Amino acid sequence: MKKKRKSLNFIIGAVLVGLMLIMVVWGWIKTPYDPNAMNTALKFARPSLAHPFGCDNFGRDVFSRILQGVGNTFIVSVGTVAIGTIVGILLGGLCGYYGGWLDEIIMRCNDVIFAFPSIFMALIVISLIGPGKYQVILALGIAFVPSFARLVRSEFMKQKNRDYCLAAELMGASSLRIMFVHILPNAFPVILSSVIIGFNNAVIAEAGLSYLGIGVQPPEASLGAMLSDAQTFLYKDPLLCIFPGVVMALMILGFALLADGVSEDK
Amino acid sequence: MKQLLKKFASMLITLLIVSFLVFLAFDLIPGDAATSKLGTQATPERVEALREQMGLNRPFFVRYFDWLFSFLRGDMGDSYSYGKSVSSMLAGKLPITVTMVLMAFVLIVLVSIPVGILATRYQGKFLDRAIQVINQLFMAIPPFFSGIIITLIFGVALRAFTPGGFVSYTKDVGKFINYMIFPAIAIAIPKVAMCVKLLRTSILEQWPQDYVRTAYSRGNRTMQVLYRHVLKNAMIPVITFFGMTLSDMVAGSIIIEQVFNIPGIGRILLTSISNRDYPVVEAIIMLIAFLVVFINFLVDVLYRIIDPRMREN
Repeated sequence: MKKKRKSLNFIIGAVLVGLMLIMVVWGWIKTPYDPNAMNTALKFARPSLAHPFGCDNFGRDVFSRILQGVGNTFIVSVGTVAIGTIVGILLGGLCGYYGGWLDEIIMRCNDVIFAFPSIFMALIVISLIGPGKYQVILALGIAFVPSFARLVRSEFMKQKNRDYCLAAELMGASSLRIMFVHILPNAFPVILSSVIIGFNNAVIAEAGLSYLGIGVQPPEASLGAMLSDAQTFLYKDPLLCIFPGVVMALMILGFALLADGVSEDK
Repeated sequence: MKQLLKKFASMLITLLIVSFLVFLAFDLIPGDAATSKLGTQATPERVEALREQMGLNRPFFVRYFDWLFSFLRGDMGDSYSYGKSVSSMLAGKLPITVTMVLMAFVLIVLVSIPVGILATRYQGKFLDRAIQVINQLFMAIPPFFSGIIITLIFGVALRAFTPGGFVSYTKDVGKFINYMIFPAIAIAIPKVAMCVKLLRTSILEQWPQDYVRTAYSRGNRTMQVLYRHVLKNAMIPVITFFGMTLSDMVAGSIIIEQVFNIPGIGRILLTSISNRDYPVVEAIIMLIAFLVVFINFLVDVLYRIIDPRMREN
């Protein structure tokens, strides 16, 4: 089949992720207001043309803070997925290609870590190195390594006995060259869809850690921390919770649909 | 039986490795019980003397086994910031967290299996599509946001419970259960959605298989085929999912406890992390790790009971 129509899931997912990227870039270039500028006159201001999502308990513009928060979520997710993918590809690739005792040891450790929920692993790392944006990237990155390593390993094991690998070997290509120049591009489709799912998980985990106050530190905005602050004023201004929560849910939905769409395409 | 013993042994080894890694990690970070007890003003001599007294300058492995064995006896050391023993701080907290997770689990099983079956009965029709769309939406709502929405709907608008008004099970079991239903729903929502999706695909994968045709040819009706044959096979991946979900919810309860202001182990863990109260953090990590490993073991056992093919090899 030459022309294949993209599924509806893929289109909606791509649009939502696209919107998220626009918000990220918008937040980097310039937010409408300073996300930390307080204004007592605007405390709990209702949504208006000037402040589309209203203002929070310090009179800060919620829309600007959401832009900054989405940016932070994006940075943390990219960092996390990068660590998870790169380390996962290295470990999984080595294990899958060489096998033997190295594989045995690494995969045993991997299984022990894999048994624990990623948010729990992240909490352990945070309790060792302290809270903060970059600490969260490291913590979640470490927590995501096992699942990537496992996937890449099984893919490398499948690919290494295919003819193209044997041909490359006969032509005198080194093991490293076969692994990363020949096998890796062939494993790409499988890795891609799990990278997108990785983003999905990273957004949920980052938001959770920030909600607990051990992620991005105030005054910098993050969606999780905004929800936790807004919860105090649930009676007074429920809208403060709704906006960051809905934005967060749409981001997660976007990545989930995109991942579905990509794996349906194969 | 031999297999089970093997699994049990591997569970114990996993726990041993985890306990060793946790102890090692907390040993490597700067600052120990002596320095935290004396504060930053203490002279090096006094710190050294207290270290000697507390046995902190003994070799690493001696301290590790000492810690491990006292942990097994229920002595988890003393909190740095409160001076109380960790076990007294945690006493009575575990049942709160476990109740919440179990309630959520019961909800997941009770809701997702019928809905999953319903979706496949109407495959491709409106109901199936509606269930799929709702699933996709529910999966995207992180539990702490659904927790806030539930607080808004049931707590603020309908007044089915008082937000933040947690009642301990030691005071009033009825009110405790009534309060815990809502956090349990919040945890269950995304998991129900995932489970329905999984069960739906799993059942649909079974229908074209040979044994289904055989079952029909013997004169079974669709319902009989579904409940006696298809569902048994379709449940296998779902049980794996249940196991993962249980351990995931144990960890996720830390966040939900914060949303609903529940004084369970999650709350203590968070304050201890920010106070750098390492003995408490260590103890809670070990407790959660134990729960997770134990759940995985139970799932393995359950597998063998449900699927005779697993028993043979």
